[in-house]
Amino acid sequence: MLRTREQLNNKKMGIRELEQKAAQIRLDTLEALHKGNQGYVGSCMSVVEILVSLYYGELFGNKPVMKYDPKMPGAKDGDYLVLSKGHAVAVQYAILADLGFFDKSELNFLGKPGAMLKSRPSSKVPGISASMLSYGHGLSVALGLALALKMEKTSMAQKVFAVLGDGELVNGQVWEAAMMVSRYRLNNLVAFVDNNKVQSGHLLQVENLQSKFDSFGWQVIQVTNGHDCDQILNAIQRAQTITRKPVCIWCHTVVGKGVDFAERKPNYQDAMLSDNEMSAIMPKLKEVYEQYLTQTR
Amino acid sequence: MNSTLLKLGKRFKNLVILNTGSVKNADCEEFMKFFSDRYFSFGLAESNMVSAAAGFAIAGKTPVVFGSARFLLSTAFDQVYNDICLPNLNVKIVGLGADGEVDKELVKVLPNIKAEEGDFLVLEKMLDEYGPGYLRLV
Repeated sequence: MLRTREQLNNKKMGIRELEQKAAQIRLDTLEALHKGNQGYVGSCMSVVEILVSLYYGELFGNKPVMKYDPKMPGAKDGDYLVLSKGHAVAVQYAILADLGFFDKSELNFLGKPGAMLKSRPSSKVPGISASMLSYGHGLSVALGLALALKMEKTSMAQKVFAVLGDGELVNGQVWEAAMMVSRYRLNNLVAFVDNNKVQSGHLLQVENLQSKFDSFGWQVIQVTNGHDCDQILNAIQRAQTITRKPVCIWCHTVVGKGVDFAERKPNYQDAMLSDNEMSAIMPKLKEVYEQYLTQTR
Repeated sequence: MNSTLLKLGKRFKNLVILNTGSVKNADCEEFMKFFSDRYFSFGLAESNMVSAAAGFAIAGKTPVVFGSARFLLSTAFDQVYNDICLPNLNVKIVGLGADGEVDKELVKVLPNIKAEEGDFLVLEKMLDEYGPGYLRLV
């Protein structure tokens, strides 16, 4: 039996609650990254709302976006999430720990030798289906998953979500996969692009990459503010109604969102925060989180 | 009608074949005729095909990947190493048209993978075991 909203908590997840969750996940992620001496603060912060909407969001009233069961990770009838931008896995770890896939104390040992949580996604962690140890492979793995699900007549309702960074779109394999996905008309695949406009190597932004997806036969849905859970959920709702076409949800995000001195700064994309920076930002983020708490009560 | 690959297809219900089509193989074409829903042609995109095989394996299928022995492993080395060998997924890779020694040497440095040389009867033995495997078809 997969999760229903009543089983997790009786509270209905409105937009307000999602924003509060995102604030909490930001705190957990930053703390875990700092304890584990891990970088990629900017990349992690830009993808928070996308992952929070996928894991906690609800469509059409009370239908969960993703089907999963924290008690039984890897259940046969669950949905798959492939995090192709694997360096931002700390956000997914924080969410999985919050949902109860594993204990929250594991976050203290992120990336340490012998710890369960590695700095790149590994399928040994409960709740993570695909290992992503290299760049640009995520859409291909999602293609394989979606094709395999299409073979089963019973699993028509199962979905595959892939979250890509904009930096890996220069990798050719992404476009090999994009061609194949539209050739098989895989409508059970939804690809998110976290377009934070900053890439490793500080490459200049390629214009109109989203129209490339369009010309390969995808339906592209633009999300003008990738930090607005309402817009993201609306885009997913629209994606559910589109048949016979794969959907790419193009989210315009801000690198380092929430960490005010790191926003839109390319230097913070793969950096880690120093002790001083941490002590400066943590009280602010806690304040934001507590604001949400008092407003929802 | 009685090729080994067809028999394997009947025995292993979750076996799927992914092929680039760069080297012609009569057994593959016969498999395509009888199990068209379990045969996927990826065109000349080796890296995409090998990563997709990882996806098939995660979803519980047993993918058998066909490509040219000359360049399948060298083109998709990153994908074989990071997506299949390190997570230890049940994917069998078959190199067709053996020519040269490069693939033999490359497979030695990959972890977890079992390398064999022979015909499709060897593939049957490999399918009985879980884990990545490389068959150099001769």
